[in-house]
Amino acid sequence: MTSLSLFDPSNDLRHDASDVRTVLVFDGSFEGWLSAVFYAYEHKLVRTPLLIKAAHDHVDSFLDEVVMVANDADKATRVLTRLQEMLSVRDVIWAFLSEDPMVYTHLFRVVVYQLDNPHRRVMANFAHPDVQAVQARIKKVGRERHRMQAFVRFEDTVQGVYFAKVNPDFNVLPLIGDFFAKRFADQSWLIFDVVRGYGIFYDHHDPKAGVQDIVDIDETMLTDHHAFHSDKEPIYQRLWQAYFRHVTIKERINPKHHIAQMPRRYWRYLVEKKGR
Amino acid sequence: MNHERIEQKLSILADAAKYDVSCSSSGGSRKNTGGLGNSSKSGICHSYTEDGRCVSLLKILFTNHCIYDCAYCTSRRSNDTPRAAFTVEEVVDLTMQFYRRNYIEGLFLSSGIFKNPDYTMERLVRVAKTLRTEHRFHGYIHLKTIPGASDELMKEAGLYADRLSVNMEIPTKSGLALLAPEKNHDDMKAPMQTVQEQIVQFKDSRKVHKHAPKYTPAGQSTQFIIGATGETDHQIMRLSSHFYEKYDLKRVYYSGYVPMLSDKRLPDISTPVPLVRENRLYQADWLMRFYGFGAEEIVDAQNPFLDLQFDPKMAWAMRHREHFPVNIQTAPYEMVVRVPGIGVRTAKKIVSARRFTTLTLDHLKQMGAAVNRAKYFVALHVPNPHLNELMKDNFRDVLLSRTQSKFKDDRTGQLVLF
Ligand code: SF4
Repeated sequence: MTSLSLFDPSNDLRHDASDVRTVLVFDGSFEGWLSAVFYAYEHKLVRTPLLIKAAHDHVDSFLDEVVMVANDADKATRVLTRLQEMLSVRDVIWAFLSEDPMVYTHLFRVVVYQLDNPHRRVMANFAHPDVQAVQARIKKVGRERHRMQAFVRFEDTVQGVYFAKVNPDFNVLPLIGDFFAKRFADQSWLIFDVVRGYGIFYDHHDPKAGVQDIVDIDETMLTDHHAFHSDKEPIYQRLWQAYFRHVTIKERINPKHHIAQMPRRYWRYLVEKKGR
Repeated sequence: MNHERIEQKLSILADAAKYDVSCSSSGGSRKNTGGLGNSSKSGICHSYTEDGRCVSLLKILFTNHCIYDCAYCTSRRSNDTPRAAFTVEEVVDLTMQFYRRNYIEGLFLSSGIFKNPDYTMERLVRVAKTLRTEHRFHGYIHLKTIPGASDELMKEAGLYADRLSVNMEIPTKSGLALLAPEKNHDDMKAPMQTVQEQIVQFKDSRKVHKHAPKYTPAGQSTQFIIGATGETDHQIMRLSSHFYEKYDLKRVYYSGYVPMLSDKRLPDISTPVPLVRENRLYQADWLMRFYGFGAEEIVDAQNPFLDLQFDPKMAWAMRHREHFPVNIQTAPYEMVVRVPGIGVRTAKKIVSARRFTTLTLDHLKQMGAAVNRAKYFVALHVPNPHLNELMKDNFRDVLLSRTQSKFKDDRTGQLVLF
């Protein structure tokens, strides 16, 4: 991360001990963050040293003035409507989903910067520290989303549902549902995020229901999903492994490049890397 | 189905197809209408081989039986190698089942020539047609056209395939005559012409009928084998540039020759694969397609080979120091993007950010520039001490000593360029 050193958030957020800092703590949801943004404007905290933190990242410090901001659907909607007029909400949500402890504050400052300059597209200022920080997280989330589109491996189960487990670094399931629904419109599927304990589900018998969040799944699906394999499943896994073995050109083997493209942390759920 | 037998076939026919380096699945535009599959405009690599290449498509030969004897090819008839052939149904089943599991973006089907070109091509077309019409498959299909197949089959192929390719393999006429005496350079170019004409025709009819079918929406591509004959980079780049212009090719692929057959017409079996040269050709190709360089700017008759020590943009900059330094705050985009160490994305960010801010080298770094190279070529609003090196006679040595480690491990670089 040396390339980010100039804009290291911990640097630019350091304050004299005499400075009283306000920390707005929200519940971790997008609505909660929008409520916190509203709160900051409502209480004229915008020009003061201010941090916005998710409850699960927050550690109490007696130097700070901490405010727990309650969710308020009404206020959240008002902020969102305003944001939509001047920023790409897609950008905001993607950055938000990075779950980076600092991103909520950076995003807030970009919002302030944008509201201060209503006639410029401030996200185009790649030299601005907060814009830069937000852009960097958008890029990371985008990359993780792309990797999930690539590395999800469905396994056919006896229930007739194609099942996949994933362990993404960021909370990207909300960003991939549509992609999979369009692509696999004629099969039912379930992608489960084992890190965050929830999944997305699509039922091809009921396409109108769209992609649904799902929290409750049979525990054994997570611990011993082989028990649920359809008869065909092991055959096609073997065939895929055979294919994978035979596409490598031995004269050109380059492990460094291989791992750079397909980091080890993804291998666990990749059929072709099983047992490697 | 006998799955053990299929596994054997798959092993043989994947092995024989792997030297075709194209694996792109980009440029597809099919929309799913209730069936299986959807194209992703930018393509997706679902896996990577241990040599670091993208696995996007199920890339196999229909068969490796062949009536021809091209010296550079493992499937040539005189090579003693195990042979196999799929049936249409087997290829269709593998494609569907792999796609359902999200292993692939689609199919790349090529083939040795058995019986005759039409007989072979007809099989390939049938696979594509079955996938599209019987299985409602909307994933990506790339068919390699068989030299000598009839125009009718070529035309039909383009209705089901997203991309067609005609591999030239050997870039020069003399090289081809030496290594594949049964083939003829001009005959190989003919299908490209046919495909190009069809694309134009279908585009025109779509202007009138919105629902007229698309013809190879992802266009056509070709591949050259590098280093099997004595061709120069100048010859290759000129040919590529000619193909891009004349046939509107989407991509030209360069495949460093892997010596695997002993034949006195070919490089010795112990010759290393020309990986750096291959990488340089891809970089040069990118300069033509995305950076506004002409082929003759990159290599010319006096310098017919690409510099192996420096990427072609750096090599160009060193030969043309009169164009530098480039003022990062004021120069047009076209010049910013010619600065070594600054890629297309970074150049766009620079042009965007400089409307807000006076840029420094640190900013360039933030925006993704390789400042260790760019710093010798840019003027800033403050004096840039690195510019002192630019006009020195030993500039090349200076650069070499300071950037060398960067290039030492520069082996593949099919995607990671500049
Ligand atoms: S015609 Fe094609 S498959 Fe047959 S030997 Fe020549 S290059 Fe190989």
